[in-house]
Amino acid sequence: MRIALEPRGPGERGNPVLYGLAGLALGFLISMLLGVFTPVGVAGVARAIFINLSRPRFWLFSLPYFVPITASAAGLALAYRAGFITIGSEGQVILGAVVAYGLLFYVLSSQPPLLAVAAALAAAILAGAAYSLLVGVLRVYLGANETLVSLMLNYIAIAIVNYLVAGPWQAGAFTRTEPLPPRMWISIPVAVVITIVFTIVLELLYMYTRLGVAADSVSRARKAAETYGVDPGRTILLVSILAGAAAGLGGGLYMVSEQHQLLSLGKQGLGYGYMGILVAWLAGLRPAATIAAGFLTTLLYSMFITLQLEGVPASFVLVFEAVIVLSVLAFTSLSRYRVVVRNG
Amino acid sequence: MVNTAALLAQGAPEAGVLALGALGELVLERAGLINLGLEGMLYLGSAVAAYVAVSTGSLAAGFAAAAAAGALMAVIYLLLVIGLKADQAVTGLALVFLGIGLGDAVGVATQGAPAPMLSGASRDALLTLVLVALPVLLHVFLYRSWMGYALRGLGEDEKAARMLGVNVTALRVAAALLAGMAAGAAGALFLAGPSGGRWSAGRAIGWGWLSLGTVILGYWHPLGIAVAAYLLGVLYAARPLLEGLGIHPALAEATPYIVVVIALTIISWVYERAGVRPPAAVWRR
Repeated sequence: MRIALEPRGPGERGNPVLYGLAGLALGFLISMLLGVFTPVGVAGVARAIFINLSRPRFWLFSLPYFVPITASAAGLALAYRAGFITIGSEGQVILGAVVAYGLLFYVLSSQPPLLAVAAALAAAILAGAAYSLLVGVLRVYLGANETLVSLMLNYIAIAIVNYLVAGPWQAGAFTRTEPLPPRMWISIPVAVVITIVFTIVLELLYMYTRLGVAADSVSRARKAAETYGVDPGRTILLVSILAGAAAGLGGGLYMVSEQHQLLSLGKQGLGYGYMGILVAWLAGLRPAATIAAGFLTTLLYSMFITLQLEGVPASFVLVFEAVIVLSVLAFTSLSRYRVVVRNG
Repeated sequence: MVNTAALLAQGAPEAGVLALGALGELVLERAGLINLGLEGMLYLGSAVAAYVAVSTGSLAAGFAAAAAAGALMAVIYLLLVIGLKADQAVTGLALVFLGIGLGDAVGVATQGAPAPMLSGASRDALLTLVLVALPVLLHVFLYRSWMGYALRGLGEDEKAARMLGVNVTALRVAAALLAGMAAGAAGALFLAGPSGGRWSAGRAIGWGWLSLGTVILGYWHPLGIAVAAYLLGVLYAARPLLEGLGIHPALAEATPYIVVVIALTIISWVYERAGVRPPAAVWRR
């Protein structure tokens, strides 16, 4: 007897949302069972998860992370479609935040707030786009692998921040800068709306312009792309700009809506760009779907902070997140296949 | 004056960690799969090695346990990627979180406690094994044996390999398990070498990503990986020198990464013209 997975036809596929929810439920269940290894036990973890999911306040906590994670993911979705496997959103988010902060604090501090913030966000978009275009240019013209180059640029962006907060921009004894004046802040819901609008713009670009066809064809159907007159190099440069612009915007928005100051990043960075990679794939590389996938992931991400308050060790929260993501992934894959048992 | 010989020797332990993880990942990528979870496996490996080495007093037991932990993570990877045909990228990224979370949960028990360290002759022997013997053996295997041809064929064109009678699933399962064990053992090597025998939360972060990058910088070739790992190790060891020249520590930290971008650009330009290409199933161009 052999068990095999066979792809279902387009009409026979299970509803991915239902399968996803089943995966989510199983993931939470396994997490609670894993609670037996924590000091608070299975009941403690179950209680903590219930408290976190049942309080609206908790849902709101996740919104600040939604902004950089979803913005990165929407841009990455297009890049991955074109076979441009960048992991540079992390660095672009960071650079967007740095540029927005620098402009608002040192250059535009006496300008009208609305104008200043708009200019800073535009600059963050440009900075992210330029940083990402660098990767695109190296890939297209010199054949350098974008994954490694973008990873290296992430570390360079982290080093820039660590240098600024311990050097020219340092304020006081700690490695951080002065916070932005409150009149330069924007509220988190506004940042979320801007993110969603930008994500939808990317989705429309994908759906209704040549870019969508170009991105899909250069990686998966090179011959069709050539027949259609698509230039692979130009397509990759374009998606690299869009991915960087999205991540830069996410970083700029995160700075003006949540963080308000630069802090030392240590070795790790912020991590939002890396979460964005996960969200882009979970969303099936559709920009619009990153809104839902981003919301789910940020809920899990903010659980990281709130579950710790309920006495669950941070390490286990990370394990729970991984288990939930893997479980959702397993179930959504199953929606596309049927399990077949063969004899002989 | 800079002691060149000392600098060249100093980079070896770091290079060993990067090379060991990268050689395993190379086998997997040549078989047409990619595991982004290397970071999590290496991190878990370092924590498990610390826990076992401290509680048993044997570093060898630590290495074995770390390799087993890596293999266990590889089993999860295989269940999802081959068993359920789930996306490799998401699976790998989730394994990063899983490995770091599990690693912290295991490692907390030994935080700061000294594990037996590699020293003297055993250290030199192990590093020679990882940086010289293993790459050469892997080169012979990949380019001079039937199994190696089959494995590389799998990374170029799965359908063609299947037609030629290659057992695709068996070969990929073996490759993934091997890669997992190598990643876990690389974590143990990190503990015994660069980390000075002490585990602390977050210390092994980033080494898995760098190891994944070593595969690319070595251009998917065992000997290339050994050279690339060594270059990265020496760059890492050279950072204090830059600080000595008056460069801000935070900027000195960035120098290895800048050098890697430049090195990769030159290497890719040369290799693409020489016809050296990454495995097509993983890196479509």
